[in-house]
Amino acid sequence: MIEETRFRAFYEEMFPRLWRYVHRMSQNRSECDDLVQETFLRFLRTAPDLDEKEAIPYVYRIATNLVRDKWREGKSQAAWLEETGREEAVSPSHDAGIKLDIERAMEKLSPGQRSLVWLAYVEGYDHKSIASIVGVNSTSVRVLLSRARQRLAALLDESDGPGANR
Amino acid sequence: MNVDRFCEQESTVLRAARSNTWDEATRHHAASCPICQESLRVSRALGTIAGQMSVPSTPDPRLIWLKASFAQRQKRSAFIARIAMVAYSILGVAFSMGIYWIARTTDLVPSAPLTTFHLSGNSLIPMLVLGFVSVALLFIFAPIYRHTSS
Repeated sequence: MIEETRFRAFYEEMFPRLWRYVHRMSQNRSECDDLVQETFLRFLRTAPDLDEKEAIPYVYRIATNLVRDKWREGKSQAAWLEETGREEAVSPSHDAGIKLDIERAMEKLSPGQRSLVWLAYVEGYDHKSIASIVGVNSTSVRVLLSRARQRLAALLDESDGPGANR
Repeated sequence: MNVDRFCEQESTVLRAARSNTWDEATRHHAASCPICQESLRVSRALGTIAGQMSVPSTPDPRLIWLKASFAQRQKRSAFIARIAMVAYSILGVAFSMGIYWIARTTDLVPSAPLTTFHLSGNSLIPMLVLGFVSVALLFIFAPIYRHTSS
């Protein structure tokens, strides 16, 4: 197990990033807190003494698996990556405008697609790193990411269009 | 229907956008490539919501650390308990075989019922039976041992 001081530094750096990622995938704030805590717990229990470069993708991998396991209860692996997602609108208490459009578009992606686009476009991971995090090969990541990106762009176009409901 | 579209320059363009350091070739490519433009648009959109997400204040990691330490100690105890169980199994077999050997080779227990297992001079069978019985008993009691040791 890594030293407490090193863990504390790693945790303080990673907590907000990981929380955003898990929240974006799970779309459930209360569940998110538990999942993030469980992620760090598993990281401490299972991680060998990794350097930061290896530890960050590793912690994302644990989080991805935890969210996937939670989500999978009753659903298939294919649905994780391919399902078009929930169609209901996000809470009306969210800020209006662009942010709401993006939130709404993200809601319509599957959790797996949300995970892919987040890792690629927010965290800046390459296909190989994403592959190791989500547990598929990098060729599949390339294809799946391309589809997720196109879908998200199309949803953003819809919300930008003249008939957009804001 | 989605058609899978890729651009080899996508990661370079995204890196340039993220660090805001564009070279002329990358800038020119980004301006003319629809895939990279789409990627940039998605990246900016996600950057917007990422920057505006309200993250709860970071909880104290001490509790997580303590939980993990406790789990590690438990794991170590379970490992030691497993080793002890194997050692006790070996000892149990050796002890049973020893008792049988004493019963057979000395006159201290001339009517030892164990000797009745003796079949056609083959002393291995009763020893094996005793060994199996010992191991079976240990496996029956092992969960109790594991439970009490953790």
